[in-house]
Amino acid sequence: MNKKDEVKIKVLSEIRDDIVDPNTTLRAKLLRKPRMNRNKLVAIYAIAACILLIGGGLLAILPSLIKQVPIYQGMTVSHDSAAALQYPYPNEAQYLSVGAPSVFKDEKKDKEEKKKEQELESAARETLEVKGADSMYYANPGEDVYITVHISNPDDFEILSFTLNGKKYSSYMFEAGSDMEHIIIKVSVGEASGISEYTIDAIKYVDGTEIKDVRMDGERTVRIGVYTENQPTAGFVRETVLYDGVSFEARIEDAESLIALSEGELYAVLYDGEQIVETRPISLGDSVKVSFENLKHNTPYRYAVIAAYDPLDGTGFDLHVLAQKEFTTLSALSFASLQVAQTEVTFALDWNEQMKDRELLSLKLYQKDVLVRELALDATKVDGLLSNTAYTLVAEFTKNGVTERSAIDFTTMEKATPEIQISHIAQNEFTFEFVDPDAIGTVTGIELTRNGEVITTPSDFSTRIFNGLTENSVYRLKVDFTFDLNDGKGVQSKTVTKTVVTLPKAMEITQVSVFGSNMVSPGNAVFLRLQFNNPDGVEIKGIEIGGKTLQVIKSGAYYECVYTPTSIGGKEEFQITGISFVNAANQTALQKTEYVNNDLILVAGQVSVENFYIDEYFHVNEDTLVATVVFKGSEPYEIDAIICNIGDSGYENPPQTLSLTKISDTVYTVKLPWTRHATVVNCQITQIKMKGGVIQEIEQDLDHNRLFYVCKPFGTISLEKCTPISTPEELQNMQPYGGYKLVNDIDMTGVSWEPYALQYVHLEGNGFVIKNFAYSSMVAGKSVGMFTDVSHCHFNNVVLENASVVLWETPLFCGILAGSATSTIFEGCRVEGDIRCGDNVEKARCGGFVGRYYRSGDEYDLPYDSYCMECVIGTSIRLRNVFLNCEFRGTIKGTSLNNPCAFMTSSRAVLINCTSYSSLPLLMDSTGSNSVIIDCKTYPYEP
Amino acid sequence: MKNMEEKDTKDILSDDKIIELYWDRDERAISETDRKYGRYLYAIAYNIVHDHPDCEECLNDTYLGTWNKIPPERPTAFQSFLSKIMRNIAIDRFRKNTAQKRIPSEMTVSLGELDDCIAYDSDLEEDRLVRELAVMLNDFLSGLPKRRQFVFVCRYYYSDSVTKIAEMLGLSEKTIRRDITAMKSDLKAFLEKGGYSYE
Repeated sequence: MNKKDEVKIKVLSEIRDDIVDPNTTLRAKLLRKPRMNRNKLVAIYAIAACILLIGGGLLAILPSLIKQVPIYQGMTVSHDSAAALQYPYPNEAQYLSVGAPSVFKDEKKDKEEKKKEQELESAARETLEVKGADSMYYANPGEDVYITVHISNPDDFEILSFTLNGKKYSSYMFEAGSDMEHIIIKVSVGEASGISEYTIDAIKYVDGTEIKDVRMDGERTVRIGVYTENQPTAGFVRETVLYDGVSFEARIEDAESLIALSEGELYAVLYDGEQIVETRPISLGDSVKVSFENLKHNTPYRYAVIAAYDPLDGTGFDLHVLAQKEFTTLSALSFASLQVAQTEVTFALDWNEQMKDRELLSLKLYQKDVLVRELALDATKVDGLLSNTAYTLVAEFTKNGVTERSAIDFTTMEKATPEIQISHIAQNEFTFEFVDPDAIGTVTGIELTRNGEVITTPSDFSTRIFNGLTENSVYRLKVDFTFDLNDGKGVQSKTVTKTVVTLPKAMEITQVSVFGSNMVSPGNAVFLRLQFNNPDGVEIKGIEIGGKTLQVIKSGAYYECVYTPTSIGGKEEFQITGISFVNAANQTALQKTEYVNNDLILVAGQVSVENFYIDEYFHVNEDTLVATVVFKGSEPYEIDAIICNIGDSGYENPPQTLSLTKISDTVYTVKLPWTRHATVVNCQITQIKMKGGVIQEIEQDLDHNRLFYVCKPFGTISLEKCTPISTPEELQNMQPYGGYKLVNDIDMTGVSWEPYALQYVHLEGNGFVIKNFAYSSMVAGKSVGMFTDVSHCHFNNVVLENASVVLWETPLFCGILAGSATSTIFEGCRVEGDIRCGDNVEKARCGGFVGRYYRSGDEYDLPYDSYCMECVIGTSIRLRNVFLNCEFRGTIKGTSLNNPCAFMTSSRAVLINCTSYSSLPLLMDSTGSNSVIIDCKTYPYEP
Repeated sequence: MKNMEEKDTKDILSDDKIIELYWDRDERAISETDRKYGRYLYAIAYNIVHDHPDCEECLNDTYLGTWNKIPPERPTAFQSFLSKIMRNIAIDRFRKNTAQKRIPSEMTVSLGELDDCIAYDSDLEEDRLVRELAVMLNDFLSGLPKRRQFVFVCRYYYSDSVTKIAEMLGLSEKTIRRDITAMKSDLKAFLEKGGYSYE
């Protein structure tokens, strides 16, 4: 063989199994099928034609007659047009059902039920013949399928048309992929479930100018099963179970007539767990009566309705369990009320009431299949039995003349082997007990030894106590005894040896203290330091508290252990109930003791702040401002400090620790810190710090944990050091960082005043008044007032009387004293006068003392910004202004006043003891969480 | 006689039972295999060696080979398993016989049909060439329609005659030849595309 062929053979031999195997199987199948040899067929045709020719003398048409007439061979069905040509042979259903519908199957049934069904179906296949209608194709409702018409057409005659179920299909209706030997058409199986048949007829082809019929050799009909979920069902009613039979009524429905369509059968079957015992052909119906007789009594069976049919789900014709039910035939005779004891058994015989013509023949007791006793027929008790032994009670009886047996197995109860138990151990004695609940034992010897030396061997075997022993010593007790368990083994002997260690001389706890601080947070541990009186000097391992043993470690003359208090808040009470030690046998033992302590450990967790207050709100320079803290539940503790969030921004301030001075168990004082700004300080206690550094959290957001106070930036400047002001001109020219005082009343009548800004100015009214200040503003968008903007100033006892400001254009802010103020203190000031707004004015942000502060980012937070408003004594957001003992009398008038109020503050501002008189119904208002209005009043204004 | 034949057919064991006999080392396994598949296997051998005494020997060697392979093997497709053993044994005999003379078997014809299709590259080491061509051939066959794949396996793996293939499929020989011509042309193009041009 040449190299080329060798390579070809080797390459061909490497064709994969997944290609070779299915084709090999198909090849073998097709080879088995008897088939007319096409050449022979042609020869037959030729001979027939010759006969015709000779007979008819039609030699002229010989050439056309020896052409091969197209022969119809069958139809196949596929689920897609591409597959329609791929199947090599028609009517091979097992191949052509590839791609059967995916609608399968009853997934609702649980596994156990399914398993039982499969078991029954498998058994039924051994008995019942599974034979139904011809194989078919399958489809889902509404699906389009492709029918391929197979025609042997070697001379490629043109196929013109055919009819399928009477409908004519012409060549233009053939699907793409059709050729002269395979005609593909698409049909819809429709929505109706069941079996549809498609029959082909009248296949026409063109031979020259003639239209002829194709010879019809193949099967003309194909069947397509359209799946339905409406499968046959069955149920059972009126079941009667007897000791030798069962009867019931079956209700079987097959709404889609699947059983009839697939030429199937229905059976009622009886199954005994291994095989089908009996089979009954039955019919569909509402009440199909079935009974099975001559069954074994007291035996489990299963009856079922099985249908042989094609469910049209692609699995083909097979047996299917429609319904099944388990039952157990009744017992003819049973043993009832069985009560088994150590040496006897009692029972009753229970006859089945259905059983007639019965007779008890014998009642016997067997042990391991050996008859041990024959009982009287009326016996209900057997005594004198061995203990812990298996027996069988057997009743023989006749039933309708047939002898049967009914048996029950039982095992008598066991007797208990005696035991030796040490019941009490003391320093110089111990006792033991011979525990023998069934009284079957006898003590035959007792011996007590120590270190191998016999201490005593009492001749009185009833001895149970040994005394006069040495403390903390190891003794060995040996007890011999005999016993009979009544189990057939006779009298047995046994020796039990017990080791007994006498207790050492009593230890006691002489001192318990806490090492380090006795204050702990909940859940944290303390170190206990203990001292013991230990006369025998045994090794102490631990102490028992609350049922748990805590290990102790010796440290000099003391023992130390870690203890975690269990309580939260207050004094921890604990009780030491035992001392764990190593005894003479090198075993860990426990000596009971009693030591109670309830004032050693303090656990944090119950202190709360009841009040936090100050007497003075002002804090000048670093002068001491003292607050008082009143605690609740603080009596047992020593509180060192409070930890506060302090600052002018409420909650985001860094914590500061402030030391406390104890006044009483519950009252402490604390010095408050001072800031350089004129500001309201927010101080909130978040934690308390106790002795030993224990920190306890304080519940937040409670008013009594929080206070506000005021820091003054300047303190008090003595009048002597202030620059005198006696004229409007001097008032017009105050300089930053200056202290000034009025030395007489200043009359502003006719003064052409130009508002200006002040910074770091201290102005003392000094008992004098600024009178008749009048200002008319024609400028828009600027701060307006006697001063435009004041910051970090202190106005003390400054009084304006008969003042007037007229606004013709919308200012930025407007106040009689100042347009706006920042970090400024107004103390003991008084303003009497009016602000009048012209028609053009909007959003004036007016205040009697000062106008509202405004910042673009805040305007959306506040409802007042859009209107000219009246705020009689006004301070504003984020300015840390302070008004103390101030008074305003007057009114603010305008065409678009809105939300007039007596006092308005916002973050970090404070008004204390201020008074407002106004013609408008005024409200007090505070718009910020860190601002305060305290002791302020408002009255109607009467000019 | 007819009744006896029916009985003979009826008593034919299933593949599982025959395999069980092999596992039990029961010599009835061979007689049952022969009864069920003897003629089928003989036909495979005849396609290749074209000599009746050689076919008999191949058949016996196939049974011996099967006896030696089962156990440990437990084939799931028994008929295909037997077919492959028979084919390999028959090809060995074919090699031996063709060393002396040309054998007028269907295999000789079918191999000849592939002359202008499967290229032979004398520059390549034979094992490597076979490996690479086999991978491509399997890829080609996997993409074929089922009917053509069946025709290819019958014609070139089992060396069935065109007539026999046409008979099996109930189609005309002309159709089968048309299929074969188309397949050869496609295969040649497929191999050329993979770098194996005809020598």
